[in-house]
Amino acid sequence: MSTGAGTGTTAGTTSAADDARIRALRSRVYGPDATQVDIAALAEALAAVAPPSPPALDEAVESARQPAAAPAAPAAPAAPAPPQPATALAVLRRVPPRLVVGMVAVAALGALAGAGTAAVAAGTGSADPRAVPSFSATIDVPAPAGVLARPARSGDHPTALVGPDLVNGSFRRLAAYPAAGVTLWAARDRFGQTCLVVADTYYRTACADAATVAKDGLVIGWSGGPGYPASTTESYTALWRAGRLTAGRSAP
Amino acid sequence: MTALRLPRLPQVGPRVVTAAVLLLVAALAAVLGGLAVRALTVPRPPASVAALPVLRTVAGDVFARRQTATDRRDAPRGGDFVAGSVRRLAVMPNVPAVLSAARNAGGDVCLVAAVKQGRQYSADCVPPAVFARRGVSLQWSMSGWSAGEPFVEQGYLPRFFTVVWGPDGHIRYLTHIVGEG
Repeated sequence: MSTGAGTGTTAGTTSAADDARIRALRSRVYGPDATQVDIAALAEALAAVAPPSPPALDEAVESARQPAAAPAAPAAPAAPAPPQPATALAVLRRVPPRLVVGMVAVAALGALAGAGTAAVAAGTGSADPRAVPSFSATIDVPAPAGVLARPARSGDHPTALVGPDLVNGSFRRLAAYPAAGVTLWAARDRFGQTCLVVADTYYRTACADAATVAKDGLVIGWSGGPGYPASTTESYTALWRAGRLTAGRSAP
Repeated sequence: MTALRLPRLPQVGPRVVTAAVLLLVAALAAVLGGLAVRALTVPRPPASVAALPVLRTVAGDVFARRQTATDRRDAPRGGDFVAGSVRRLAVMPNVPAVLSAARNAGGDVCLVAAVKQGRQYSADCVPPAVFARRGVSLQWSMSGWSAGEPFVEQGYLPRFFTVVWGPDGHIRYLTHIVGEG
C-alpha cells in the first residue's frame, strides 16, 4: 500500500531515496495487485520530484491526486480515462509558440508545393510536335492564322447551306480542291472556336480554340459526301497548321 | 525468481519528434493543396457546350476496352485510322450516322461520324493532350431519309449536326433541320 506523499523532498530535485521509492511504487502499480491508491501514490511521488510546472499542469496533478482521498477502490487495474477538453487545451497551451509558427509555415509551404505540383501536372501536355497525318498533299497553300480577321471578299460565301452553329459571315475562302469536289474554308463557330470547313453541297468541320489551333493546327478527314456513289468514294485529309493549308488523299 | 526485463527502446529526442510532426503537417498540407487544385482545374466544357443535350456518357478510356464486331461494323473505310482502335460511341438520334472514336496513324484521337457502313465519314482529330484538356468536336451537314420523321419529305431536308465529346466524357449534340425551329 502507499505510504503517502514523499517527505524530505524539494520539488524539482530528486534524491536516491526518492528514486528508490518511485521504483518501488512503479513495481506495485505495474504489478498484478495494483490499486487506485498505488496509482495515486505514484502520481504524488512523481509530482513531488517533478520540476515546477505551470498552473495547468498542477491542475492535472491535482486531478490525478483525487482518487487517493477516496476509499480503497476495487482491485481491477484502472482503465485510461478519455482526455478531458480542459486537459487537451492545457496540453495545447504548452506547445511553444515557435512550434505553432513553424507548423503554420510548413503547412503553407506544403500546400503550395502540392498545389503547384497538381497545377503543373494538369497543364502538362505533350511537348512533342504533332505527327503529320499520312496523306499525299495535292493542295499546299498559305493560310495565315489571321485570315479570319481580314475583311470578307466577294468569294467568301460558301454555296453550301450553313448550319446555325457556324457563323455565316465569318467564312474566308482558303483553297479550292477540285479533284475532291470541295472548297476549304476558315470560319468561326458560335462557341468562339476557329474552324476548318470542307464544303461541297454539304460540309464537315473541325474546330478548336485559337490557342490549340496556333499550337497543334486542325486536322479533318472525310470521304465522299452524301450523294456520291459508294464505289467512287475516296478518303481525304486536310491539315491547317503553321500558316499553311495542305490537303490530299489519305494514305490507305 | 528473476524479473522479466524488456529491452529498452532508444530514446527519441524532442527535436526528432518535432521534425517528424512538421514533416507530417507538410505532407498533409501538400495532399490537401494538390486535391484542391485538382478539383479546380478539372477540364470542363464551356458553358455554351455544357448546355447541349447529352447523347451518351463515355466512362474512362474508351480505347481500353476490347474491340467488338459492333465497333468494326461502321468503322470508317479508308483514311489513316488504326483499324483496331475504332470504338463505337453512339448513334445519332433519328439519322443513321454512327459516332465512333478512333486513333489515326499519327496517334491523334478522332471523333468520326460515319454513314453507309463507314464508306462515307467525317472526322475531326486532335492530339491526346488536347483531347484530355478540351475534348474533340465535329460539325457536319447532310441529308437522307430518316425513319424518325413522319413524312418522307421531312426526311430529305438538310440537317446540321454538332457533336462534342467533352473532356468530362459526355457526348453532347445538337441537330438542326432546315425549316424547323
